[in-house]
Amino acid sequence: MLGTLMRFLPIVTQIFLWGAVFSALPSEDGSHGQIVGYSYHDMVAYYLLTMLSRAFSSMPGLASGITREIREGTIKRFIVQPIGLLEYLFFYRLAHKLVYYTIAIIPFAVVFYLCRGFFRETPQGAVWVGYGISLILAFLLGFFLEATLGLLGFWFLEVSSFLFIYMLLSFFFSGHMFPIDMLPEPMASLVKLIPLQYLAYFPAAVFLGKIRGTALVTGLLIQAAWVVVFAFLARVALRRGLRHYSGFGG
Amino acid sequence: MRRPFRYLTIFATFARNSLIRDMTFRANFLIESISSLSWVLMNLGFYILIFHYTPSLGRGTGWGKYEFFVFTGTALMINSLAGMLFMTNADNFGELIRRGGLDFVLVKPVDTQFLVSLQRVDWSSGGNFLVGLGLTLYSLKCLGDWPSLTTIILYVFYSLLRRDHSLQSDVSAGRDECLVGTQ
Repeated sequence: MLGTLMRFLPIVTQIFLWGAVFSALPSEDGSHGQIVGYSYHDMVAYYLLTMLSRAFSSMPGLASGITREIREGTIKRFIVQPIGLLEYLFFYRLAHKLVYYTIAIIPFAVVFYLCRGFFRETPQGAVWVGYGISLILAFLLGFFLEATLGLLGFWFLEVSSFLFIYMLLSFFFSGHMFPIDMLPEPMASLVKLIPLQYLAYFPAAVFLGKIRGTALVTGLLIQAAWVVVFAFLARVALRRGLRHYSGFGG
Repeated sequence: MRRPFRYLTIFATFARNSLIRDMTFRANFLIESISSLSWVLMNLGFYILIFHYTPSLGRGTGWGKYEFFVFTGTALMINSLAGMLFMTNADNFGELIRRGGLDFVLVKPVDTQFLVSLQRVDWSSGGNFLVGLGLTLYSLKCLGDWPSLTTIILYVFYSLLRRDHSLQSDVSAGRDECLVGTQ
């Protein structure tokens, strides 16, 4: 629990950093300026919300766990036992998240209560629904994306450096580091094409009311489409991989 | 051989052995260098982005883009020096105690502190030093006025004083935390 509280420490840095950034902005009539439509309060709220999105979408150890099973051969048990690898991992992850956040909801609540001043307006009914759906989809997307990467281990055996690059990219382009609207134009549109933004940026932006109406609906549909794509890819990778795989002895 | 030179030779041997060790697993070395480099570049990208939107950090503080990058470059150099010389050894120290390897260190006829602190040189952290140096020099060039010799000497002196272990480990722990993500 203390560990979870510690996770929020970077928020303090962010508050100071963005406080300094916004204080230097050319502001009209004494009010704070804005960066791509984010006020200072929005910015801090954004960081808090990405922490929440990541709580749903990040899967520490999933991909590396799968590759370890492949490398060490323990994946054999999923061939002989009547359970599917993906199903097992999925429900294991789900249970883990549920138990972990039943406890961790306390530090989350404390931090969000302390920072309540940064949330200017609470979202209305429809936005809440959209936000909830986007978080659930973020969890699904995070799971299938990482599972697919892990299953690449059938062909590469050692994917840790590959995973590191993926993690770097996802940290940068999922919007965990900054709102991706901030990127200069050709980049911003490009980054919005890849699925990473749905892991952190999209839910937070929905909550802050940056994405509304039809954009919200299409966004959710695209996110769902990505979930389906990666669920399909993971399944294909597993089937192909098992055909490719050979286990000896044991 | 006189004492100070003796320690220099021993250190040179350590450095050489570490380099040989690193070069044995060349691909690994390359990947490590690249990954720590890309982390640095990503952070730089973030700050470039910030300065794209604001002229300075805080109103009237004088921390403009290039002033800030001199600061970042310096921090990078200090951190990479610490990482290169001390971090692996500091990490290894606990293992030495736990596994009883410390006995062998204690009986060696050299200063124990020296042996414990400098045995491994992590060459892959060296890449960041060059990046930091380049960044600092480039930013100074953009700022336009070069510091005087005294300033440079003092700069190096204070940089060497501040090899802060805890800082470095915080940085890398922070990085791992960020990347691995929440449970």
